[in-house]
Amino acid sequence: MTALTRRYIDQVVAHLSEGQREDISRELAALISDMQEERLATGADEAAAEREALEELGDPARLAARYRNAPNYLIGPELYPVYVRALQWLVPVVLMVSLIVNIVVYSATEAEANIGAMIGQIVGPLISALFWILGSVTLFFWVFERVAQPRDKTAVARDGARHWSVDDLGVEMAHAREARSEAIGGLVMLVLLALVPLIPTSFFYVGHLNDGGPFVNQGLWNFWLPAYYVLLAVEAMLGIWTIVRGRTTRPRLAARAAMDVVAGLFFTVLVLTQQVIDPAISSGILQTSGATDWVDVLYLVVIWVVVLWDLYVCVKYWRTLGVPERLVTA
Amino acid sequence: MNEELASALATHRQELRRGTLVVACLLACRTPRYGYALLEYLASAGLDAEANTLYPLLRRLEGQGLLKAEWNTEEPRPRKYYSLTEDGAGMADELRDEWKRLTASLATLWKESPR
Repeated sequence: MTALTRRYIDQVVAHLSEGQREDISRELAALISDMQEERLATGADEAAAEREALEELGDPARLAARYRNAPNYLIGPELYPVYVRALQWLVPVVLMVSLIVNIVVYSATEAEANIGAMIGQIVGPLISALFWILGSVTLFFWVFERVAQPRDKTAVARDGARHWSVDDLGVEMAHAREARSEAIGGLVMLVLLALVPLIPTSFFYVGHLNDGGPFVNQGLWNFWLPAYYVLLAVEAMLGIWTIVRGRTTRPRLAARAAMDVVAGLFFTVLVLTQQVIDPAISSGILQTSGATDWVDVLYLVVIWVVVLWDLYVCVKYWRTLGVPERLVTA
Repeated sequence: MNEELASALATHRQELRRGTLVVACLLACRTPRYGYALLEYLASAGLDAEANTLYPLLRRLEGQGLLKAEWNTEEPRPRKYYSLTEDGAGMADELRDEWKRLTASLATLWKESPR
């Protein structure tokens, strides 16, 4: 055996377990000799014949992988659905927990809370939490893929994958899920809207404009702000109604459309007749830049774009609500 | 044939042939053979296999108890001879029957839907 062949075989068996090395070395040595002999018979010289034989066998690491029957993938088809499912659950949970913890820590440690600084300070930890969860789940499945017996993997695949049954086709259930998640999103939005009149200017680095008071003109508490909260409360009740019922119905859609129009009119009158932004701020920047007029126009455009968009969504739902029956009877 | 079709054909052909090497090895090892002789025997029957696929496969079949291996040190070049075990013979029969069923099924399909 030449030094070249010896080196090739050594590199193959280096990747294999101790017990197999001797046996596979001998077998490969015989194989390479046979392959070489065949080539010599066709007139090649000895060195060329050896090279050709080794080249045909290919990369020693790959050959060793074939002997080990090692998977050349990270996560195989049995575990992949479980892996995806695990990430679908864990990533949002970890991100939410990390977000909440970081916000709490920030507000507890900073004397003067400020949204810009807070975002700056929690983005980094959030990103590392995301990579940490992606990495550790992937690492876990990668190891499990290689350590577990085939029958364990099948068992995990069976238990961990989403069980599908014909019932999942139920139109009602799908609608309920959709309607509920939309209504919950709507409630979150309402909470944020309820906070708007209360947010102090110091939260956005502009506290100097009105000594850290809210953005919204506090004189509006006479009628307009209470009415605003009544509107939000009615919207919230509509949302809760949807969550409880688990589906959007046509009466609910009609109520939502009516609320859209009422809210649109309310905000239009509010913007046209009242001073919405705290006068201390308006007199500070807006008035001196002469922007008051077009700012009002901008408000109106935003208000009616939102209203018309929601009306369009209502119309779309209204039409799809009729679809299942039509499909079934067709 | 365009490139896309050619590559699809190569994939399908590979899928089709993937399992056949195991059956071929089991059938061929009814007579004890060493790896390289097996390779030549398969080639003579029209089945081309690569040494770097066949040798690991033989060890795997040995590990599953379908083949047994013995070193023959009487020849100048010691060689490992593989032969079919009883389990291997049973497996070979099962797989051959499966192959026959597949052939029959395809023959039926071929007859029933002439082009």
